[in-house]
Amino acid sequence: MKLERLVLENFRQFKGRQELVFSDLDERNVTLVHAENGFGKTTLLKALLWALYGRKGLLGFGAQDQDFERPDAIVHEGLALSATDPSRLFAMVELTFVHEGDRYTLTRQLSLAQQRAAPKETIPSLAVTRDGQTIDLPTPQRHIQAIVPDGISKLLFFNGERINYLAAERNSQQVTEAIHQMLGLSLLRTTIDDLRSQSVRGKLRAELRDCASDEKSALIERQQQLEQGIEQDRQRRRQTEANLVAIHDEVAAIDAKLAANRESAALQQRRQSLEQQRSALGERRDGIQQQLGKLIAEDGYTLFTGDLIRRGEEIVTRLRQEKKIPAKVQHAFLDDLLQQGTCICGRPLAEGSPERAKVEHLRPEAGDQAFNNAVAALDHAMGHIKGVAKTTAEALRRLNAERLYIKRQIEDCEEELNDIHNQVGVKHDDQVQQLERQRKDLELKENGLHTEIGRIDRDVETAEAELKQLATQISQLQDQEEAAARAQRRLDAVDDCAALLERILEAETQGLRPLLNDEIDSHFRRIMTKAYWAELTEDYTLRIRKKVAPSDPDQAHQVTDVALSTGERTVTSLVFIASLVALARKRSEIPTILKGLSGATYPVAIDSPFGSLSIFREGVARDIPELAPQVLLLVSPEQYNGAVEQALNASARVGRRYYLVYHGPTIPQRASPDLIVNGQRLQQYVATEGDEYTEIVSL
Amino acid sequence: MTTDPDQSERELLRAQEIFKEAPEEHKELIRAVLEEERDVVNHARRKEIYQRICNHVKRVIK
Repeated sequence: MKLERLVLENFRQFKGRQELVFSDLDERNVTLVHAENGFGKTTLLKALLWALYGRKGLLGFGAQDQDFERPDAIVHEGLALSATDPSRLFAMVELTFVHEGDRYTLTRQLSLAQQRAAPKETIPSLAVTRDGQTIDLPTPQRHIQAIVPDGISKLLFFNGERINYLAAERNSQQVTEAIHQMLGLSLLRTTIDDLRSQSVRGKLRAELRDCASDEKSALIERQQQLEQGIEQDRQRRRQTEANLVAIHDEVAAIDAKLAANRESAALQQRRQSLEQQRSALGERRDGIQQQLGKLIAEDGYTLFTGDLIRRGEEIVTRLRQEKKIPAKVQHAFLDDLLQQGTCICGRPLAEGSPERAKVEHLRPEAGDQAFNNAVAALDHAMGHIKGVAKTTAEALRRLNAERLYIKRQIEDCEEELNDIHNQVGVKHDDQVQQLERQRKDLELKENGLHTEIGRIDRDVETAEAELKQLATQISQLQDQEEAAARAQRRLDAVDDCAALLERILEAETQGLRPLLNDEIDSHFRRIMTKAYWAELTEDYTLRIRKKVAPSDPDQAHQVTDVALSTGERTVTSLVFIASLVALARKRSEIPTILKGLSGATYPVAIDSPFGSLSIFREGVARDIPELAPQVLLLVSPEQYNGAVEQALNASARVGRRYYLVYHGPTIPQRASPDLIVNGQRLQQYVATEGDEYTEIVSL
Repeated sequence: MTTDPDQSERELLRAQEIFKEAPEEHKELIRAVLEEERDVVNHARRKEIYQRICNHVKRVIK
């Protein structure tokens, strides 16, 4: 998908017809829009999303979006107030783009009358020009979904100040989903889910129930109940997770306000630092708990073998003392001599001779080779187990001590966080007090949701265990009738196919991980000056790692996670998106069982890309043209001036520039009437007594 | 960072092997269902897909 042109007409503050043409040059792939905060940067990005997805695009996908207030007020406010015929006043956004060789014109409009009656339902029109002929496509929204599914869009068109969530520890599920969506694997995921859905299994099971024995029917009935319960639980879990994300966003918004307030800024800063520490400590604690689990599962048994080993050693010692091991001479050797009738010294061992009696006398003291070997192996194994028991006990002690130490540190963090809560909560500023109350309420809700998720997981686990048992019972009940056997085979086939696809999806996702990591690493190194690197871990968490010198110089360097600041999270998230976009482009070269996956070119549009980057601004500005084949950046002067300006100018990758001019009776607070871009002074505020509006001006 | 380029190849190859080793009727069913899903995978409303999957199951598993 390559964007060509965005036309807005009476969309929010963009009065009349205004347009923005995207740079389509490969070497100058960046389109830059300069605008003061509050002049319409976000609205411009939202116009693009509204054209593509309607109201859903305005609200964001899944997460609560605080960027866009009153999403049902689309038509320009001033014009709406003075309209005499609401059915003839329209807001419209038209997006022209090229996709796989065809040119598409997507138009979405909403009349004022429709806005007043039912603003949520807007039907777009999509025309495609193919071989010189233009045709209207009958199901435009379906086509849009096929070109840019909404799951992908949140990775392509986003607010740069909010994208850091991708690098948060708890969002590995979203990262995996992003990989699936962007690289075409969601087809496998959806197919698995559909094969396992109640709608499919229920139909097939009804067929089985109708022709199975009473006993089997009862089991099937129970199986169906359990599966329905699990499906409901999973839905509940998804909803709970979405609620958690929304709460997290709300907390982030409150934190931003508290950080901006003079009364609470210092405490808020300390709180954020403590929360980061707590999160890093939590990760360490989880890592230690994992190590403890592994240690106990693999070597824990050795700790209970002390008594056995002692008894074994006693037996071996006694056998040694009795000279039974090692045996001086072997049974087999004496038997051979007696059988041959000749001693090794050459004397005959005739029956009844004193020589033969002497040799026979040795038999009780002789040993068996197999017995000797077995005792030696046992002795060796006991020694090994004893050694493992010792190191296991030491490792357990060390890990446990570390776990307790971290636990105490977490408790200290929490105690200090609680102190901060108490201090902020009694500040004189009413707004601060109110924000702190809201924050506390949200925290409590968050805890409740975590508990809820834990409860759901336990319920699902119990139901799954029962299901497994039922499946064995059902398959053991042989059906005599052919119809019942066939119905069972069909159900089994659906299960087997879903399981097979699950394994394939897992293998393909794992296969893509190293490729993604190569991309992530190369992007990340261009931005980061420190000796860090970013990677996607085996459990799909985005991490920044570093090497730590060991205290003992003989030992190898250890690799550890870097506790991420907001800026580092943002960089990591951006790098991840850039890597996905790059890999999506190369998709056709990567083997897959899914036929027909072509390389897809996606643009990226970012509102405030440099907002929360702190020291990484310059690095990101240098690398941002590489983010995607086409990049739209909406920047405020505060973010642009200085390092970003220099880096972007040095890259020579900006193909088109625009700025937004605000017309209104008063200039918004903190805004300057002029905008300075590359030393050029531009008027960005025009005083007017008429309607307020924003104008897109090409530079 | 050290990445293992062979790991990627191994896993992607494994995915194909898993499919190749599946019973023929499972392969046929998977191909048919994937083909159905391909058209509707990104749509919010996909009610008919369940009936279509069931039809394929009944057609392939006799």
